[in-house]
Amino acid sequence: MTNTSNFSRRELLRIGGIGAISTALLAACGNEAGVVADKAIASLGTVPPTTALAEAEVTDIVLLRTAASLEYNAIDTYKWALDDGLFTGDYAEAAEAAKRFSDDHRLHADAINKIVVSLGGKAHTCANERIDRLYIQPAIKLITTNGNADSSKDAVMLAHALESLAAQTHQGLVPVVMSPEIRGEMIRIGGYAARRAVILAQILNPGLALVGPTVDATTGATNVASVPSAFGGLASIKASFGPANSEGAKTALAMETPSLNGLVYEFVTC
Amino acid sequence: MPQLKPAAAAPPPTRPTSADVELLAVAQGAELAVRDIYADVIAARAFSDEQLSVLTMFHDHHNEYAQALNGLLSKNAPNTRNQMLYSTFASRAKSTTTALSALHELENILVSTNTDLLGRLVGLDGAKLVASIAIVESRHAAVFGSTPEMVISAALINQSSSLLSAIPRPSATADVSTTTTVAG
Repeated sequence: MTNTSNFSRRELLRIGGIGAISTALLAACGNEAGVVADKAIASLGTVPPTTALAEAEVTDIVLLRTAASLEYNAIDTYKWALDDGLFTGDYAEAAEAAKRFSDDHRLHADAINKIVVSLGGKAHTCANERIDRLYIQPAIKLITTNGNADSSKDAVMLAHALESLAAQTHQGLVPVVMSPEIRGEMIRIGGYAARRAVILAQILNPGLALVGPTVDATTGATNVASVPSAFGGLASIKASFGPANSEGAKTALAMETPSLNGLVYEFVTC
Repeated sequence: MPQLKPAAAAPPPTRPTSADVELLAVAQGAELAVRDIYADVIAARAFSDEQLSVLTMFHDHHNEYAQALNGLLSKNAPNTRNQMLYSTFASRAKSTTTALSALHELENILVSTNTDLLGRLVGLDGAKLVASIAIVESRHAAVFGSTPEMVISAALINQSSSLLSAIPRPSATADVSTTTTVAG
């Protein structure tokens, strides 16, 4: 039998406790004595210099620049769809609408930027990069996938989703902007986006039967409605694009209004 | 993500101010008048089942708007319709040939009124509610412009005046132009 076998559980705990106290005491003495930790021991290479994050204030100017950026997202998307000749067949009517809508978006962007400049800010004349990267480019990739038989319909779906997103964004800005005058202007422009969404919903699902919220009897999916609810909602907008899989389901995207990391701060440039 | 700093100015009040209450009462009276005109059109039973289904849905929406405004205004809610608005459109609403165009015009009047209202309201609760109403009333108006056949300009254009035009605006709090005219 060795000596260690004579240690009881109580003795082990006592010895362990003494060890911990001793370590803490030595460390404290080292600090008091001015002992400097040796950086060479635990690190390799050099620490790169850090870049301080830009300070950003969420002002009416930033919110309005963000609203302007969405107008350019729509302008760019309509240009892409028209240039690619996507509005054809049952959806040919969308081509005329897209030209008109694109002009209106430009006027709305100018109207918003005019307010931005009047408040002392700098006009923002290009698309929201985050919205483009997260939603529009993935949708375009799906729409233009080889073998997608619904590319025309999907292009109208994308336009409808973007108009709904613009309407929601303007509605969502109302309680956030400081000036009542700007709130009125936001809802005036947002109201036009809502009207454009209805026109596109009617191109997708013409007639009165699908004006209100309905569900596809075959797939169980929610149909695109002209008037989906009694009050304007701020929930994410779901839209499906691209070729259907073996079960008939398409890839769904959930689009959300710009959040703090999607705002066009004053340091953001085109 | 950048470091965020709060905006410097003091936030607006949440509850309606006394001036807001007066304006929101006008909005409620207008919603009740339009609801009653929808009820008259539906009661005439001169339209197809599909049309009646949509008209009933829009009627119910206006009823919900009036109720939501009632909740916001509480004891200050008038709960009476704008009789002048109702009388102006009641006879047109009784004719099948003019009823839908009357309703289209009424929806546009409500959009103009609520847009005007948002440019005046100070309290955020009222502004949030009216914004969520105005967006859907824009959709109502566009439905009348795009059915039974699509007329894009009819769905988009709104040349109606606000019912608040007769109520003077308080002095401007910001030097912002809201007189731009786009999309018609």
